[in-house]
Amino acid sequence: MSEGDRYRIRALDRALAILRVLNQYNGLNASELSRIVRLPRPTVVRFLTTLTDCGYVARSDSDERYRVTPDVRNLTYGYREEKWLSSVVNPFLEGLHQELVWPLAFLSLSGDRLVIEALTDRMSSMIERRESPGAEMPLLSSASGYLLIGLSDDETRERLTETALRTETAVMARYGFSEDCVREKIEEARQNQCMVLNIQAHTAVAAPVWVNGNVVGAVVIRIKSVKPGEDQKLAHYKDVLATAVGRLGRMIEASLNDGAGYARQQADQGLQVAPYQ
Amino acid sequence: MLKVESVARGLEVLRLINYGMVHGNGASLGEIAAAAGLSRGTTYRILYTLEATGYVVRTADGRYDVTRRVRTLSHGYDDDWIGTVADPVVRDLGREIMWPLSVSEHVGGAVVVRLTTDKQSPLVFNVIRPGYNMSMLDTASGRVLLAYSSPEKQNTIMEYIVGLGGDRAVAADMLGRSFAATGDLIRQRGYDHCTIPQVRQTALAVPVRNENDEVVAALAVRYFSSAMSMAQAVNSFLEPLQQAARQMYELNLSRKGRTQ
Repeated sequence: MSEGDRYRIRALDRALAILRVLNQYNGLNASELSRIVRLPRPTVVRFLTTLTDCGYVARSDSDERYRVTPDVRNLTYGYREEKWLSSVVNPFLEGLHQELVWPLAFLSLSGDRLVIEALTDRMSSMIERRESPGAEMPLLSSASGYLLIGLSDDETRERLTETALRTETAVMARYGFSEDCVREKIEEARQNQCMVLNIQAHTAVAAPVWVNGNVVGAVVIRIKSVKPGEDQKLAHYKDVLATAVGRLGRMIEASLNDGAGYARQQADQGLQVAPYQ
Repeated sequence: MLKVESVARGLEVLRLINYGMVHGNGASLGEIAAAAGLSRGTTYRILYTLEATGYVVRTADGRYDVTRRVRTLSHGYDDDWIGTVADPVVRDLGREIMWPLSVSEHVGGAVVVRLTTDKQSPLVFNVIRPGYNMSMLDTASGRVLLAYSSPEKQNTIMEYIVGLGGDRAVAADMLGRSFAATGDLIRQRGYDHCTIPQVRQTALAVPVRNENDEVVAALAVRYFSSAMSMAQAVNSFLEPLQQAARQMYELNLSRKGRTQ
């Protein structure tokens, strides 16, 4: 606890956490919410009442669950998304999503942090819990974390590896990853230029996006259906992703060179990627 | 003890910073305190909290901006069209038909019921509540939603159900792990019916479209299998169900027109 933490208003912290969780689901009741945020149900009910009074949350008559209202946009409309994300990356992910169905995301490193820049979770009815753009992920919890560490220059790679090993022990404990295991995965990602991570019932595949000779981020697909031994299915997703990130890199380059017009045109034409064999 | 006012004040400060960014270059502590009607001390504590949680950043000139993290507070805004558009239509129809009605959506490898008239129906044997999770392949609602999905989505869902194993995978195996033929049939006739032997009930379901003409939900009626034949059920329920679905589509369309 730092010196200034006595200034922190815990109720506001918690209210923001509850709003964030409500954004991840299409409707939650007080009991479901209380399990997720690990607060007693009466406390959660009081927060929901306050947030409802403020107009940011509403309870649906039909399923008696709480959802955020359109007013939440008043809390965020000052933030302007970077143009290449809205005009290139988002349409690209949406097009690819139509074909691959499972949710896609584009993540990048911002200093030592892994940030979700864009994603298709809202379009996908394949998953229940949706992540949000702007959210940070622990480096070791996402396939893209290992890949982006692996593809950094030697000095950055060493620093990020050390930082992650020191600060993300909870993630490692949860997934049963030892220090050696983390180092191996990073090395594997560096050599393969691709990362497959199996966590619980999910398989994630990440591929790097190169722009003008630098890795600017990674595209990740999260699949729930791949079982160990289904190498053919995994190979299909890897192939499609590898082709797609090449195309995305060229589209970003084009948008940086000629403005966003060209890239939007490309995105509007739809994305042709390798058909399922 | 929850301090309710500190939540309301905190969110108001966050809203004012957004306002300041759109109408100028962020907001200073003094401006925020004046606009919110709070003391500088209180405002400082709120800004400190918002900064510590990463939603707000203090710029070099001492003003406050929101960060990209604020998107986590609004990204998941769901238009509750089932609560606002579908609910009144379905309740009206429920008074006419009497048998219980439901509206369901696809999630993962299953169908989730979002709305039912079970509470108002006198003809209910087993009450189904919103949030109830049903099989995709042995329910009329699930089969309708699958039939109107793209071929890619159909295949992905089938693969997923097979991978899950258990009873639901058995149903997938019985269909030869492909829904293409069944899906064609359902789209041709515009509905599906399916008997649930355990509860001796049969359901009849039709697709519901959103403003972009995509099938996003299934509207279904359940009746005791012994009460009538399937042909009789189609004869009496199909037309009213389709009419209600059309009404929801039109309401979705006109709502979209209003918000643009």
